[in-house]
Amino acid sequence: MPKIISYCRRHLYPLLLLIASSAVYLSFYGQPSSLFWDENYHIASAQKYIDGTLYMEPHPPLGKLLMAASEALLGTNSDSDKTSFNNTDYITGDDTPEAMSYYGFRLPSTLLMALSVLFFFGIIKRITGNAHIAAAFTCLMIFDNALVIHSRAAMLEGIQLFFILAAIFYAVRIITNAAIQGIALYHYALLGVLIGLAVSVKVNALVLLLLFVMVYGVDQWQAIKQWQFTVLIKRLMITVPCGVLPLIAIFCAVFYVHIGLGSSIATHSTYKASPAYLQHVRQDNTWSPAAFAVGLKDNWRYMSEYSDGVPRLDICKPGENGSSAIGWPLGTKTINYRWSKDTVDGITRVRYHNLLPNPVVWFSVFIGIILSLGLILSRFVYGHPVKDQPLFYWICGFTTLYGSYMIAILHIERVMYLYHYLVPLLFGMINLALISTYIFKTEILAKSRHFYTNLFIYILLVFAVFIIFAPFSYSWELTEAGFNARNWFGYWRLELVR
Amino acid sequence: MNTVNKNTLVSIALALIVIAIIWVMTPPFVKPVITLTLSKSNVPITDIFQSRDVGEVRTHKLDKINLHQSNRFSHPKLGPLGWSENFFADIDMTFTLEKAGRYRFVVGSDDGFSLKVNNKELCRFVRDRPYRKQTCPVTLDAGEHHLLLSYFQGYGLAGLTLEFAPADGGKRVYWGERLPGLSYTTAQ
Repeated sequence: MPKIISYCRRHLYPLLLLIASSAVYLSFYGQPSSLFWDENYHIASAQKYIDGTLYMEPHPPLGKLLMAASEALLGTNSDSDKTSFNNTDYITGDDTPEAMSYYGFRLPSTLLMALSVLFFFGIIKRITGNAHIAAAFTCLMIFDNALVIHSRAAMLEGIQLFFILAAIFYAVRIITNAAIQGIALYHYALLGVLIGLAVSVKVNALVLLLLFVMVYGVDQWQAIKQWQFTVLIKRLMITVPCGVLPLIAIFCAVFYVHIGLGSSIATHSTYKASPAYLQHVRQDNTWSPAAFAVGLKDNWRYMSEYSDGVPRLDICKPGENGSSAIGWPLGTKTINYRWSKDTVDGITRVRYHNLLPNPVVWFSVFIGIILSLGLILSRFVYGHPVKDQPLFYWICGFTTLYGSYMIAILHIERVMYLYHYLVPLLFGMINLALISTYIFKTEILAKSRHFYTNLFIYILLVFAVFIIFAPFSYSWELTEAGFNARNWFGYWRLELVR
Repeated sequence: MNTVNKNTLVSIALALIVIAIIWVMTPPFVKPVITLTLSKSNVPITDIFQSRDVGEVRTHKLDKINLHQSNRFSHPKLGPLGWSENFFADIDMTFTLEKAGRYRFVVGSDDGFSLKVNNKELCRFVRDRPYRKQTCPVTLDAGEHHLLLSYFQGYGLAGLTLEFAPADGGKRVYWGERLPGLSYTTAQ
């Protein structure tokens, strides 16, 4: 019997979680068969790789490269003419071929997000050493409505979250194995590669640089405790290049592919490319080092100028979808990505495609952060003893990741949206698992039935609320009464379609 | 705090959350006294008597005609009804009085309305306007009577209220609420 339990913990939980996440993320992800939110931009960009058209845009290229590769491999639109996508940066429904399939473009985000539950499970399992806790809290990631709707799309977040969780998992693996095998330079390098992949999708993944600090802290813990500055600086001189150079190398490699593939010039724009860069394109010389040098510089300048041109948040603007980061932990403000309406026998049914949170998950994460801050303050301000030192430091680490991201975001002047909270939400979910383990450490060690019953009911609650809000995530029909029953908080600013 | 307390507190918190969710998800219910018919106009409405070109039609069962909340066509419990603009609302029903005498209807509307009792128009406001109340006195015999209230919302703010009281200064209630000597033929 103990062997069976041990086997279940090791293999059955990851398998069950993967089945659940595949069912949630991958089922009919080609629906709605229409563009929504940033798909209008990203699909246009991805198609340019397939057709070899030069373009530039504000985000690094890896996400769109994967979308293009997936679309080309699946070939679901191989008979359709999508050349019009090359002559615009923003496609509309009028530009798309009839019966266009979205399965190819949406696959990377959807599939990688479904797979990333394994990293999430692995992170919590390695830190807490408890597979039940890890499996339970991984359900938060699977059954969060905001993660589901935003990942089942040709958008960047699902892809980026996969690499972010991979980097965190690897950092956790390095640290938890440090006592046995130590921390070598190649660990820093591989971590740099994973962070580089995340940054190559969206630059807000730079918050993961803190993982280097965490790994370095464990690596040099004895020297830190003894204030051996010389030792610390010497090690820093080696580890920083070992970690950061692979990161930069990956970032540049992704841009090299991006620049190399842009072998023709679009009719609608040259993206302010310099004459030297355009000359390389016209000479079909885009894979050369010289083209890369000038292309990278031009892309960098374009990203910078584009970012400067993004408007600020204007809450007085009618239909403003942006929101202040202050309200994100509670779900302010939801975004209506698209809707369609049908009236039969006087009853109007609307299919909403809304970004909105699973409130049980988001509120729990927020409470977890508050509890963590309380714990940290009680230790460092009031000098209260810590009952589990390693777990306490992990809580400090993930609370710092969450706080650092939110503080950085609050300093950004351009308009930001609720889905920019998905990255710290994951930090917060991991932190919630850790702070719960810390608070209920005695009960977990005693295998308290009451604790595990509560945990089971909590996960059931997460699932039930996910189902309640699933019509918004999967575009299921809702009547006005159904909408009103789900309009739980006015500050969400859900918009009823009549 | 000992072990039992921590787990018990979590159990209580979970139970409260479940109760709160059931409470929020349970549809609001009101006693079905009045049938309100809402008709979406395909063209802009500027006059209560203009010929109707109607698209979608909805009916609601209400407990009272108090549909003016935050300057919207909204019921205190059921929330917003109808559409934001260009629709008609009609109430066609019977009621019974135990005593003959003078009574008054008070109609509040944004925009126009027409009130008829026993096919005789008591009062009206034909065009659009901000929310205003209008008193409509009437002498009625004991027994059954027929009431027809028509209302339209053009654009902008909206609202409709109908109140009823004996003319001698007795208690005034929203149409649909209990008043001694008054009974409604319940909506089917």
